[in-house]
Amino acid sequence: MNKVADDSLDKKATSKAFNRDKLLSIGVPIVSVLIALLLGSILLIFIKVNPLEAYKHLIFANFSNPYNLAEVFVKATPIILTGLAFTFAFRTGLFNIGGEGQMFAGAIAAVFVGLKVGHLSPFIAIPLCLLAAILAGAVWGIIPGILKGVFGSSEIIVTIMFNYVALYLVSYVVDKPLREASGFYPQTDLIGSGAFLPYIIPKTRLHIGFIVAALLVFIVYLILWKTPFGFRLRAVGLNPDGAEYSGINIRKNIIISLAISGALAGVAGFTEINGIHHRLLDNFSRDVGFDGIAAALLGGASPVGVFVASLLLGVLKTGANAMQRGVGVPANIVNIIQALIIILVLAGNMLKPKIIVMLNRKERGLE
Amino acid sequence: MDNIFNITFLVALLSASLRLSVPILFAALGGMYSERSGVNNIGLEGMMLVGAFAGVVGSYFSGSQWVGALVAVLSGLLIGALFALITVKIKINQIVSGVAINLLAVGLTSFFYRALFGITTTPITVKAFEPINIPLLSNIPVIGEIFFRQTILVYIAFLLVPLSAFILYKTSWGLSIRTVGEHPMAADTVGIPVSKVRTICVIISGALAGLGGCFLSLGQFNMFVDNMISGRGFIAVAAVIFGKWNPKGVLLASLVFGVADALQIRLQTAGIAIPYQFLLMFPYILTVIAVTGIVGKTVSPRALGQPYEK
Repeated sequence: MNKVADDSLDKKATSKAFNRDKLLSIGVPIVSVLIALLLGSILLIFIKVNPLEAYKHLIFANFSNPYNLAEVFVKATPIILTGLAFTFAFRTGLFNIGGEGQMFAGAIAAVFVGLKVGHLSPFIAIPLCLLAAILAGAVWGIIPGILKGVFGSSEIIVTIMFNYVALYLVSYVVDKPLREASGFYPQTDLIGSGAFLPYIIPKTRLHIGFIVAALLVFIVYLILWKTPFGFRLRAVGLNPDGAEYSGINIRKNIIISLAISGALAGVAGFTEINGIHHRLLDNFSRDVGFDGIAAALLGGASPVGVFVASLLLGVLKTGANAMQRGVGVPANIVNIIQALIIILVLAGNMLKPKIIVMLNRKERGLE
Repeated sequence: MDNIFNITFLVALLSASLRLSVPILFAALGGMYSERSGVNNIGLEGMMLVGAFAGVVGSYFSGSQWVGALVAVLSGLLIGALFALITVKIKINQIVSGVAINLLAVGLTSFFYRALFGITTTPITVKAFEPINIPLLSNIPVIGEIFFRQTILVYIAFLLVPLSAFILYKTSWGLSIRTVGEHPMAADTVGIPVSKVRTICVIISGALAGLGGCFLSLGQFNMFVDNMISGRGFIAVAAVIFGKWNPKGVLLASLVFGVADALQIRLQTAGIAIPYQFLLMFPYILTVIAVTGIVGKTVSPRALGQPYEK
């Protein structure tokens, strides 16, 4: 096939198809959310709740007062970070299912440092906690990276297993070495107030961790799409054989990618500890790692997409509690809706070429 | 402290190991079918959760643990069918699909549990499977206690191993499964319906994982709690790899994980100085060691993870 001739002939058609593709990449998620809500309403009818009433709480409770609105961003913050973590590895052809564990590792480090230096000035204490969380997350990510790079072990299995190892490590840390001075609950003492993240809006829980997350969205975009380093990483993801042929060290890239991915998830541990809980406790922020994967898939594994999708998940999570209080619907229904959205978005993306062909055919029929 | 490793301890340990390996064995055998046909299934965790929940619901409303197990298998079939639809038919990435299925399972089970039994309740207890003493055999000292005083599901799980080996290696069906997983295009050329074989294998994996889940809720704990699978499905995925994708290997791997789990519980109660959390990590670390291939290189089915395009 003569590609050049094809291109010049179909320039108009191509630009149209390009627009259509763009339209679909926004349309698919929107339609998916709507279908998921529709399916959710069947469940609501099953438990004899008026879906409209329930969804009114789910969506609008978030905007009823500044506190709730801020909660959307509070809930979205760690999801953005674990979402970026998944995205970063995914773009280099790796599946990091271990965001949860890397977040826990970051949290342990942040608390450890926060307890030691929390009495100092925030300008010293906060960056030190952040640095500790980044390092711990990176360590938790680089181990699966090394195992993958050296032994070829599936990073999927290893990162999943490391989630549980980290979970029990948190449980151990709050049970024994860092248990609170009174020894009553399995949790650490509060970190020093110097390590507390300042609030952005008074009388809400919205802390500057959100700004850190937003900055990282931008930074991850820059690294992956605007630097030669990011280009190499993505080349490994797009075509490992081609990348290797062109002289890129694949093993090294795998290890670096998972280390950075882990570091990003580690920052989520920092924002959760220094911004919200101010101490480490058993079972804190469970499932944030998996929510991050959801956000990444929903957002098409692009940093900005992750950001938007995380806010959507933030809306659902905050609204779910309001819905449970308001109409007695178990808050867990949003987990179902969330999973359905992911499946529908992915299915929509897979069917996109077919949809485009269908649209084209229709158009030709009209001409 | 030094006499904990006596014969009573060992019998109790091995008996518990056998029991604890069963949910992993069920799910791993299921995962083996799926992966042998070329479909990665990390949704085993969610499928087990659905089975655990469905088992409790079935047993609660019918008053029979048998109905519970049947409902668990049927629910497993359904969630397996959904997984097959999105991975084999729509061809969504299999790992991502697995993550989605797991999220869906967590949502579905915790939502319906509350919808059926109320938002704040103590876990309901249901009629569960009781150990069956096999006549004569159960009276053999040591061996009888370890092997022949278990619940019916334990016997079923272990019978599934030779049965699966027979299906996989001695029937034309098994040959189809293996061919589809190794070389789908060749299979297609000789007229084996690739998508159909894969769909059936994934559905089998759902049913078996469901049975494994219901063993936890109806054979071990007699109740359902949120997230009660807590990683066993993922360990089953590892057992498939560790067991090199064949029934005998999967059995051995499941037993190894069962022993690790049982040992962890015993050592905890025996007051060993190691913090119990480290013992809890043991099965997961063992899995990591298993997939490094230090204990022997593993070769996966060649078409594993790749959707088949005609």
